[in-house]
Amino acid sequence: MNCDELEPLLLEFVSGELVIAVRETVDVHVTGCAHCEALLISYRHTVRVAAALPKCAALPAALEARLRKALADQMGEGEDCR
Amino acid sequence: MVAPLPEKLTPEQVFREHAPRIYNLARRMLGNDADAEDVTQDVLLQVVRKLDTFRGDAQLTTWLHRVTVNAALALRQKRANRQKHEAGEAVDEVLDRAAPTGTVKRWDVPPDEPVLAAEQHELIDRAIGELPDMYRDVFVLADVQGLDNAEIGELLNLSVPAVKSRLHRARMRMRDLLAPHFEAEDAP
Repeated sequence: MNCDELEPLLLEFVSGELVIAVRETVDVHVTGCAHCEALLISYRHTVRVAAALPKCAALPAALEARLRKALADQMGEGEDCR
Repeated sequence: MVAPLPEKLTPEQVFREHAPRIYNLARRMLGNDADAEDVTQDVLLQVVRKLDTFRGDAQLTTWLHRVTVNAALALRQKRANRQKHEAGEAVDEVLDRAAPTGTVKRWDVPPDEPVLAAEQHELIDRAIGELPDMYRDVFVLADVQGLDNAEIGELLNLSVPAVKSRLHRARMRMRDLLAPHFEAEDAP
């Protein structure tokens, strides 16, 4: 395996989808190749930082007020969504 | 013994628990606060209108993903049609390569799950905003939202191999964009 052959396998390598024989070939190449080892570490970290992003960060105050008003309007102003 | 029926959701519960999720997803897909706010309002009003049809939070969460993604794609399409009309052509940006050019430097990062500071959130969100739409959608749904490839394929009307191909290219582009911020200092 060379560096060009490894790159397209990264997604399946990090998600554990590669068959064992191919996975072992990748492992062997990465162990002996500083370029691909650095690429693999950075690829994995890219996936990890994306997963660590907040998925429900607070709404901006102006948007929260706008949404509450829209909800109250839709509900006929009979029920305060608070 | 019969399991009790899940409690009926109230508009306030939906607002508190789901509006921020809807907004964060829409904002990352659209890269624009005003558009994300419009999508959030549309989706929230839709869900409250249909609240009686949901039994339980899991069903609602799945539905919200679908409706938010559809609303974001529809809004983007509307904008693209307007731009196309004004500019006379459409722009389909395709990443023509995945492999990095030149030397890949080692990143100075911890081996386990990262804890990100607020400024790093901004940095990563800015990089996501630089991805072409077709790659950004897949990256946000897969790597930020944690959806599996089959779910993403259904949402975006793509085959699983197409999802994987776009996701790989998106990750490689993200890697390139983030590299200057994470690369280890050269030894003196």
